[in-house]
Amino acid sequence: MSFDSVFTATLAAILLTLAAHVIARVLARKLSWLPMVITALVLVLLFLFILQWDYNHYYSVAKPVFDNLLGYVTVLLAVPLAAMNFKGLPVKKLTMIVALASVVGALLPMSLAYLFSLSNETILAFATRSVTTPIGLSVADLIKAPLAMANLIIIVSGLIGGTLARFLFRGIDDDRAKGLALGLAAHAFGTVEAWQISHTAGRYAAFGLAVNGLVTAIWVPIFISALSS
Amino acid sequence: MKPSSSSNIPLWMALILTLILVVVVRESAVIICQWAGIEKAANIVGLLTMFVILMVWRLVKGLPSWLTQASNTLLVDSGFAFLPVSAGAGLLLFALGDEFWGVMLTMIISTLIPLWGLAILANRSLNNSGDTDNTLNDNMNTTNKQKGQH
Repeated sequence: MSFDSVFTATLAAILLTLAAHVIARVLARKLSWLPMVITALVLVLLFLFILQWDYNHYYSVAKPVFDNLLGYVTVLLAVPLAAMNFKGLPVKKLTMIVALASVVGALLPMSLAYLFSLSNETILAFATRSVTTPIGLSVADLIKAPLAMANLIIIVSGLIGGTLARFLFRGIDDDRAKGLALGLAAHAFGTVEAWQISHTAGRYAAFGLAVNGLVTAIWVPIFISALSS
Repeated sequence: MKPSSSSNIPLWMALILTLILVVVVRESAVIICQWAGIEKAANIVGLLTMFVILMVWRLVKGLPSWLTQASNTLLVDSGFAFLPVSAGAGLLLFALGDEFWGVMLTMIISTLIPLWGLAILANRSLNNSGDTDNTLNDNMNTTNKQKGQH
């Protein structure tokens, strides 16, 4: 597929992505078992295939706009975090859960990557597994992990968590717990999935994602630099 | 500390005001981080700045309900921002070569075990708490009525 100008190509990329998102949203409302994120992703790839549009070109024209959107979503996450009502909540237990999620979220994948004899760069990239993309890329840059690999790990693990969460949550009856776990372990994709469960789950997921991102962004670079010195 | 205060502005106006606030904070963070030579930290700095602004707002006056309503509405569709990059990640995965299975297994195990464990832990902890979250629930109900959602 060819375009006359970058503007036209960017507009086409936005429209294609928007169409995939809207169709996935409508389908997810009608078929509640359908994971919205995966459906939208598959639709984007399907549209690109139908239009014979090379992914690299599509991404290069979409990137400037969507990088900004990614930044706005990250900043927007401060709202549910600041609006969180801790009245009646076990704050100490929640703090412990967040701390545990942050430590396990970085050390478990790094240990597994080491056990599977993956390269040092890949092991480092796994330190960012449990944080949202914008924060994860900043952390990866700080610890000198390969950005493309970190991006891939964050996105695919988020997709795995967001897609399979509903099967893991069969014995969980509290939307707050579902949301918090999704935000802590499956970051942005988990949070998107949590918003599909309920607004309560979404708010707790946004809280978990933002807190975990902040905590991990502070201790992981310090920990990695201490390890390498 | 007041979690939220009630206000009566239409959802469309709440959305515009929230978007303006988010864009101004994020773009300011980008400019400051470029000036400081830490461009990649702009989103984290923006998130922290927004959080500090909102906490001061909450302490002084209480967060307006329109802000939480608008953020709830916007975050439902936040997945749109991740679509182009996630489509690429799916394609990149198959170019990993020898590391494919190791990377896949690490991602699956290190995502699903914490997700399951944290959900159980949070379920136990939160079920024992008497949280009613009334203020925010009231806001959400208003949002749901406006959007016709469940």
